[in-house]
Amino acid sequence: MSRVLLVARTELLRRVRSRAAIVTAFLAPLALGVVFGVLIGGANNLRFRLGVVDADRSELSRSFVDGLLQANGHRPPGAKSDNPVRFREVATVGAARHQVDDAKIDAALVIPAGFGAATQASRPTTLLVLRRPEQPVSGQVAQAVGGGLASGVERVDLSVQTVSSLQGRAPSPEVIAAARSLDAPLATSELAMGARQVSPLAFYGAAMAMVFLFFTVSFAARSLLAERHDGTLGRILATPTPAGAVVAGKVLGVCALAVAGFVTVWIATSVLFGAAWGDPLPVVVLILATVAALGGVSTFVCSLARTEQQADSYASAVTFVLALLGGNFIGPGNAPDLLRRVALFTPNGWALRAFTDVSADAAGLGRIVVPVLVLLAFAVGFGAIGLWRVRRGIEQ
Amino acid sequence: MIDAALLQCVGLTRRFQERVAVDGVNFEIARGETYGLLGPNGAGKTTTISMVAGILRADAGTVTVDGEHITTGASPAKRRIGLVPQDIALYPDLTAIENLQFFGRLQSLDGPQLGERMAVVLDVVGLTDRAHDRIEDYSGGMKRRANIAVGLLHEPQLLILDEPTVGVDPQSRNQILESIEALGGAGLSVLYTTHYMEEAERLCDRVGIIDGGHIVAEGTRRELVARIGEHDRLHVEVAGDGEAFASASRAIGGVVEVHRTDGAVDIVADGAARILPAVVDAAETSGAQITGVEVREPDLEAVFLHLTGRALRD
Repeated sequence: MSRVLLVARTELLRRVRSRAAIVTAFLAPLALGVVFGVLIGGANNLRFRLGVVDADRSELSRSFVDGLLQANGHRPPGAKSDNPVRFREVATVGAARHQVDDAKIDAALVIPAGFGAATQASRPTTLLVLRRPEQPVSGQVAQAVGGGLASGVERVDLSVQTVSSLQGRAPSPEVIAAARSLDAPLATSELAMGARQVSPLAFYGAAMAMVFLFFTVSFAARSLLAERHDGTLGRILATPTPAGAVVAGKVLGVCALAVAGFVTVWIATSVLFGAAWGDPLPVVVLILATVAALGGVSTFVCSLARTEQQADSYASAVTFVLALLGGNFIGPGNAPDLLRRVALFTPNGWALRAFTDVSADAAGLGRIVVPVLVLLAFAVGFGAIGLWRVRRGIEQ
Repeated sequence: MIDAALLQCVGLTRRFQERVAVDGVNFEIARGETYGLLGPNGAGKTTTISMVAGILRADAGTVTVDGEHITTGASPAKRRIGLVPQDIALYPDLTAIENLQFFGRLQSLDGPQLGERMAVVLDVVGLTDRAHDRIEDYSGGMKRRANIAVGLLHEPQLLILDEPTVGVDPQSRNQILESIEALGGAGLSVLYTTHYMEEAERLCDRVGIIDGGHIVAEGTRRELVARIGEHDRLHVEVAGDGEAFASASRAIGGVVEVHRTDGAVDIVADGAARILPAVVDAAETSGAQITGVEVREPDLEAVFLHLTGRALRD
């Protein structure tokens, strides 16, 4: 067995026996990825339960309420999920108040008695929205729904007034009813670009795996510093083993652990929580490239340290700075423009962008060539300087 | 020069920034010889053996073992050397067997040969029953013995031991010294560093006295002691004005040397018993109180004191 593999195997064996390494490489990224994915991902996928009270019982109000209830099962073209707003008819205003207070519904839209008659006579009337103070968004959604009804009424009313002024008399009730049944000539529809649907669990799984990956790969340089202090490094170098083989073996061992940790997060979030990471081949390529890049940066950072404690401090500081700048703590698409630009100076920023592309757009290998090359440049650039510094430190 | 020396160190020099830790050190070790590097902490012992073992690059000088140069790279001659560092240079989270397997494979041992050697060295250090325990579960003495086992694993021609008894209880210390005596008796060459004079006297065929990065004297115990003549050493522990007492002692007839150390005065003289009354008088007149007196035969401690003006444990 080559000396590099021998050192790598021993390093891996020691890391696997270390609780700290298991927590850092496997448990912490998985736990935080799931927590972030579920909590923050949930915030990005808001759902509302709205009540509708038909106190008017007119033909107009009835058709509106029926339309809303039918929309419960409606799925917009191109959307992967159901309508995020669910409607429920509530019998009375009092019942609606209770249900809002008891949080059985998020808000309620009340069509008051006399609504139909008022609209027929073109008299002003008001729709009522019930909501709890801490649920402003639900109230706004209910208002928007009411606004849709109001604009439909306004459209027909305007048409009736126009016809009246031209003919000198109001149109017949049949004509008005026919006008109400017509679809609006102008409507807005939301359509996401392409098939882009970012899986929060996949995003935060990758993001948290990267944060802890940096700690994991920093074990190599930290281990060398510890072994220099403990004398085992000297004992290794007293055998016919070059310093370069020791360094390479250490890096290989912790990178194997880091890859195993990342793959575990990938498989666990996919199998247990249904996270959609995308096509496996580009995911594997990205994991390897990310481990290499962060391994390179970590080796360089730790090569600046003279003691294991210093290396710990440097690794922690750089991890959090990179995570903040690279967008690991900010959900997909939520980063401000400046931060998105800054993220391109970090390896994790590039990696996250590529993971998001693979997850959201089912991007293949062709789409991730540039990010992978950038990651490899980080790996080679920082890694070469870091390894050179570590090796020189050992030989001196 | 020793005929057919196993180890030859010529002009070994090493600086750390501006400080010269080892300065032009020369010594040789014959086959089957136990050689001691005796000196106080900071004398340059560990730096010297780090260069001998190929761990530390020498700024100048050469090391050859059996005619082959030792360098800091993957020098094949390193297989001829077994190193037992001062620290317990083992992985505490691995078992003794796993440590032996790792370091044995780095020395190109494998398969049945590795298994046989592991069994032998574990038997030598008395750890066969605990071979599958993790090092972190060993007592201090057991760790020391396991540390030695790794150094012996690949049957080196030269065993380097760097202060192997530091911090060891007396029982384990005696066990270790007996093991080293047995190894030397079996024909293994040993380079042994220590600041314990009695260990050097007990184990070593020859001793190099090192101080300030230089070997200030070298030879057998008899040769080194002969350097200061057949003088006795009077070790007088004093309270009060020790400096005045040391000055007064220098005027006593038959006194060859006087050295003031911490809380004591060492007097090298012809016939210690004869001058003892004069020493007591000198203490009284100089205002010092004698709290203890010991007459010592000439030893390496006296040689070191004679050569450097300092005690080994200063």
